Amino acid sequence: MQRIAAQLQLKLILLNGLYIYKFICILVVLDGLSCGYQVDAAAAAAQQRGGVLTGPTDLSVELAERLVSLRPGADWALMAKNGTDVTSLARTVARATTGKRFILREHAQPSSSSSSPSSSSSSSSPPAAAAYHGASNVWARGSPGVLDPEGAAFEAGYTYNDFASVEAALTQGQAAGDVAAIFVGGCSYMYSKPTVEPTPEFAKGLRALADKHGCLLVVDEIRTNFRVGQSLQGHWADLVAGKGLLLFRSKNLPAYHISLLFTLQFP
Amino acid sequence: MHLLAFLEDANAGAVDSAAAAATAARLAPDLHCLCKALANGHPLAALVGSAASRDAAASVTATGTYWLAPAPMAAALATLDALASNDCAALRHTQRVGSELSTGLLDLAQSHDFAVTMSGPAAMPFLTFDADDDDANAGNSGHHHGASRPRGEAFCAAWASEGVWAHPHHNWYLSAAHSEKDISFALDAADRAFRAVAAMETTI
Repeated sequence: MQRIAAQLQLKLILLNGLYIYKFICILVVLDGLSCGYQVDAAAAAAQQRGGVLTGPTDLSVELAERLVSLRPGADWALMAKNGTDVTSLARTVARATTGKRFILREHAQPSSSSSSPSSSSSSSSPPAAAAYHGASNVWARGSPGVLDPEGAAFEAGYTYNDFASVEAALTQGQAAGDVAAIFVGGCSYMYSKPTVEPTPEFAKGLRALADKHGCLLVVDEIRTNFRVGQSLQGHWADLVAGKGLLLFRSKNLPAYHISLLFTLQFP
Repeated sequence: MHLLAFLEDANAGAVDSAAAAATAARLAPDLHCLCKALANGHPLAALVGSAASRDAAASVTATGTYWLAPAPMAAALATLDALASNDCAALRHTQRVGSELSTGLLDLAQSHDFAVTMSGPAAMPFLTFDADDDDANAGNSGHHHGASRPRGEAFCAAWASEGVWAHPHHNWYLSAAHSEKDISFALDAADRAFRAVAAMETTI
C-alpha cells in the first residue's frame, strides 16, 4: 500500500490504527455518506447496548415508523443490509401482491425489430445493458458467470424517459398482461454514460400506467435518496408534485441556497 | 399516525394540506427502495411500501443474516435527524457544493478548450469528455468491462495524484461533509488535471 501511495505521490495518514490515503475530497467512494461522522457515535452506542442480536430491537420499530412518516402513502417498511436485498425483495413483494410474473426495467436501447419488447431467450444477440438495480444474478444480465435465463427470465425492457416504450412493454410480447412491477431508477445511470434525469411527465406517466395495468411502480432511489430533491420525501415525490429537480445547471440558485451558505458545519 | 406527523411537519397551517397529502399519496411509488445515504455508510437498506402491498409484504420470506442488527438502525435514525434538521439544510448544502463543483468544472473545461458534459442532479454530478463518446467502445457495456473513456480516465488519474478521487465511469456523490474548502481544493486541482489531459491528447 505504501508503494502504491508513493507511486501516486499520496500521503498516508494513520487513523485509528489504519493507514489510509489522505484524499482531501473523495467523491465516488462516498456513495454511502450523506452527512458527517456524528452518525458513528449513535451506531457505536447501539452496538454497546447489544450489537449481535438475532431479533429486532426497538430501533427497528422506531426506524420503520420514521421511514413511513417521511411521505404520504407510505404504510410499511422492511429493513435489510444493502440495496440488492431490497430491490430483490421488491420483485418478490410485487409478484406476491399482483400474482403476475414479469418485471419491467430500463434497457440501454429501445428494443430492436419493431416495438416488441425483448423479454428473454434470444441468446444470439448480446444482451442490452440494463439499469443497475443490484448485484445479484437477476440484476446482472450479461455479466460473466450469469446465465442469460437467470437475468432475463420474466423481464422486459423499456427506454428511460420514453413513455411509449414502457407502454409497449406492458402490452406487447411475452410480458403483456403479466407485469408485476415497473422498476425505475431515481435517474438513469448506465455505466460510463452521462446520467439522465427523469422528466416529470415520465414520472407521472409511469404512475398512471402502473395503475392502468394493475402493476406496482417500484422506484429505486438507492443512489438518489436523501441527495436529490427538496425534502426527505425523495425526488420522485417532488417530481410528481411538480417541484422538479434541483439541477447543477441552475446557475441562478434560489435565494435560500445563498442564505444557507455557511450554516452547515459537519466535522 | 404517520400521515398526521407529515401534515404537522410539512404542511402546518395549510387548509388544503389533507387534500395535498392525499394527492401525494396517490402519486407516490408503491414500493420505494432506499439505501446508501440512508445510514451514512452503515450497512442498511429499506423497502418502504404502500398499503396495497402490506399483506403481501407480510407473507413473503424476507429475512437475512444481519438484517436486524441494531447499530445500522441507530445510524439511520441519526442520519435522518441530521438531514432533517434546520429544514433539511444538509440536503441543500450537499446540492449547493455539488453545483459549485459542476459549474466550476464546466468553466475550467472551457478554459482548457475541452468539450465536456456534466450530467446528473446537483449532488450526483458526473463529468464526461464528449470526445470520449466518439470512441467506438465508450460506455457500450452495462458492466465494468468494455467501457473506454481515455480522457476521463486520464483526468481522474491526474486529479487523484492531486488528492481528489473521482470515478471516470460512474456518477459521483457529494455529501454534507464536503465543505466549501473541499470544493475549492478540488477545482484548483482540476485546473492542473485538465492541463494534464491536454498534454496527453496527442497520444490518445
